[in-house]
Amino acid sequence: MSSRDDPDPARLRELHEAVVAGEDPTAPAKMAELLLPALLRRFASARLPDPHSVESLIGLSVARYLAEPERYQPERGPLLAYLWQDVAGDLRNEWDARVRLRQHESPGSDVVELGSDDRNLSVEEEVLDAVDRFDVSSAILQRARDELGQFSEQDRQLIELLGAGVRDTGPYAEVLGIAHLPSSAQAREVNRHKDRLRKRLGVIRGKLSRPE
Amino acid sequence: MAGWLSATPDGERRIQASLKMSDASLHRLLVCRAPRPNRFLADVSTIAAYVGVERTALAAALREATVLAALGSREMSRSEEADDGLVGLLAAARDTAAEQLPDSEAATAVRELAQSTWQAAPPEVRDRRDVQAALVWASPVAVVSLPQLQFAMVNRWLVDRGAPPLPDSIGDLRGLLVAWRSQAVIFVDGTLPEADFRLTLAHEHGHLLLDYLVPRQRVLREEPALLEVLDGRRRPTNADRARAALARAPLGLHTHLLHRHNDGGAAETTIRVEDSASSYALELLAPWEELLTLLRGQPQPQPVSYPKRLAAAAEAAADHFNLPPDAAEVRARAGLTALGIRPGFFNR
Repeated sequence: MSSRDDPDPARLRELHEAVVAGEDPTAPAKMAELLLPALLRRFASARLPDPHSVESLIGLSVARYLAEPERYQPERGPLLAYLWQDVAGDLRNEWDARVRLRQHESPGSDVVELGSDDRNLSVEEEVLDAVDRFDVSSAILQRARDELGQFSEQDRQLIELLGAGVRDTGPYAEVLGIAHLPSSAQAREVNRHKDRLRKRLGVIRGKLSRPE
Repeated sequence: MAGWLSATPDGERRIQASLKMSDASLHRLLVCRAPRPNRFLADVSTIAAYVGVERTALAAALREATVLAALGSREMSRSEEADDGLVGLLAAARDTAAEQLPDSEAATAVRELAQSTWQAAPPEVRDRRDVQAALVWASPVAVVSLPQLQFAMVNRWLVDRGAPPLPDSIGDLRGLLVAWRSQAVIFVDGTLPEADFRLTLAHEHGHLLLDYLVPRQRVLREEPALLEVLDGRRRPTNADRARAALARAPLGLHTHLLHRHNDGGAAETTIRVEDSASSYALELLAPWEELLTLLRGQPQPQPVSYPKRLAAAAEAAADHFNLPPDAAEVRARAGLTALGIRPGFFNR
């Protein structure tokens, strides 16, 4: 994905306002025409647990947004990043459901290991999964949630992208609001944030693995 | 639009076929928001430009999809229908028997209704006096032209599109209006000469407005709770009947207007509503002020005689407004009378 192929953010904002206002009956269709290819391009470059579901999940996500456009709050980040996270969440849910089904069908086997490359869940969810898997006390679970609650909204969006296995710089740069910078500067800044978040998540994992 | 069309049996495929749309255009249409009833012209025009179809064709296709969705819902409520008729359904027919057209100026309310019909249509429709297109823009109505308009053919058309058939039956028809839950379809004999076709359409539209939509609006305004009864969602109670009488919204009006005496003549109530519908039709096709302007500009035939003036005026009205000869003569006579030109003693 490259930000060059992405729709003009100003155009997306203008269309979002038109969709919310509900005056122009073609605004939802114009918005869908911009969003669908942009999201497909982004997910095409991501490492995904199930690439086959992506197209329909993108369609569902865009349809959900068009049905309730007020749920997206422009001040919290770009629309494409918002939809990215929505689709990524659906993908994780679908993957989890399959894993649960597999475990149900053959109990005791095929347990997914924490950090296994078989899945690309968000780092946040991996942390919580780890807690659940080891069946630790609810106090530790709460501690994990408290720690994760301290991430800023921007960090949470970046973690989602990390968890979904996105390698491209573009989505991260968009969340960071630096898509306008030269690509070398974008890559540098994105790597810095990725490293920072990985370290912080490592610290959280460490805390959770220690006794209360 | 996708959700909106899903209420119509086979809605997406039908609209794609009727508008000869590509898959890409259909997908664009499906993601558009449904047109708002109070902004129908503006919204449909915007959508039509976006998906690349002619706006009146899109309006007609959307009207048809909507009425089929409404009529399809009759299937579900049939079990609740009373033995004494179809509560909530208006069916008004214009049969092939000769009829008498009203020869006086229409009431102000009727003239205003006719004017508002034309005003709801886009300029190109008004310019070419396209009655069928004007009706579609102005009201929630679809127009269906069938060869040899008979009840069996109407019912086949309905059943083929997932709607239940009509239980009533009369002989050959020129036009038939079926209205249900604020949506309507007008069936017309497609073999009629153009002028008769237009008059029949206008006449059935008159029924839709005067005998269905206007009383319905009055009920909405004065006794909204009665709407459930008018729409056939429940049977009227005695209290409903009393409230309906106070609101001047006779519940029976919406049942059907097809009754004729055993000798084939129309019932008195039927004659009354037929007169009103015809009066509206003449006003729609030959607006009163335009008619008077036309007649004022007519050269006087020499030697001057009333029969000759009437014949000339009728011919001019038929040409100008594309009226059938009998309707043109009735309209011309009314216009001449308004201009103070009356038959002499020996012509009466």
